[in-house]
Amino acid sequence: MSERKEEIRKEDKKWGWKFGLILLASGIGGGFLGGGVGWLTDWLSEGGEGLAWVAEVAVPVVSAVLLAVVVLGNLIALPILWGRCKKLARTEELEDETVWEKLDRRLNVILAVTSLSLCVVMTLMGVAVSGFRSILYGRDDLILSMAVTFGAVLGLFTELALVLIFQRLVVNFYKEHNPEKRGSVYQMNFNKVWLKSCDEAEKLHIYRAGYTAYRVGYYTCLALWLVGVLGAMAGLLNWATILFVGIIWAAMQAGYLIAAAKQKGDGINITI
Amino acid sequence: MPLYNRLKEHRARLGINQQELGKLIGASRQTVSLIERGDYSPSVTLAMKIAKVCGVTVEEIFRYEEEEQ
Repeated sequence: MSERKEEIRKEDKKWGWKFGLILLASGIGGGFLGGGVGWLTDWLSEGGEGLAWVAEVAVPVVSAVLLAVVVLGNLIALPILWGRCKKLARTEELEDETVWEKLDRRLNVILAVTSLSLCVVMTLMGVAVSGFRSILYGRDDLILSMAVTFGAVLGLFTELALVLIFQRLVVNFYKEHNPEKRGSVYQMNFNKVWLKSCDEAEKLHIYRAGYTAYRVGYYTCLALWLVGVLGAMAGLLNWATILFVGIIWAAMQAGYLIAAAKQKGDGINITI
Repeated sequence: MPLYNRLKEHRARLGINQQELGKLIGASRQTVSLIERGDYSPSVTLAMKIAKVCGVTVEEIFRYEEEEQ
């Protein structure tokens, strides 16, 4: 037992030094970052009206343009990607395992494109409609502001329709070739129903990907919290940013802890 | 991965494709493919189901390399 304790102490000592060095490097980095924020604050305060125009008009307009590019890109790319999948499924021999692997990859590309695009479009739409307040204040750029706002809303609905159409096509294709698969994309609890119909390897794959997403989310929250705090100190952001990051962080941690606590003593049952 | 298998061989002997075997053992075609390639080690339950469908013992399909060495 004492040997084991010694082993643990040695391991802690080995990693403790590294941890200390990381803390020191972070402190030095933080100092430089703080100095940079101070310099940025001074620089921005000299910018005055020009920067206000960038924030109120330029950023929403650029976001709306980017949103239009993403939606148009999807309108062109998704039918092509789906067409390639259909062609492969129709013309090639589906008994051939290499063809299936190719097909799986192509179908996964469609799912990845639609999922990521939706995140991007929702973010750009939010930024674009932030220019809407110009209408309320009766500014000169009322028509531009309205065009950006309604264009962004239209873009979001178009993207939502595209996501629904192509994810339904992919899901139904999988269901057609895997009769055990259950769930419709129109169902509110689609993820739950789909997961239930997955076998052990698929569940393990989903859980692994979910854990990676949790870790990425954790470090993203940490980075955003730092940006929020420094931004608030520089007067560029307010407490709402830190609050939103905190809510996401807490929700993620609580979700993880609740799921972990719900597991039975015999671990996760992934058997089919 | 130290777990090697002869699943592809046994499936060929039965004259069925991955999808059909998947249906018999209650797994997807993708999972059968992963097992055959040695990219996934099935649970004991699934390994026993596979052995039952193939009409052989688990050891005749799956081989733990380190143990033998």
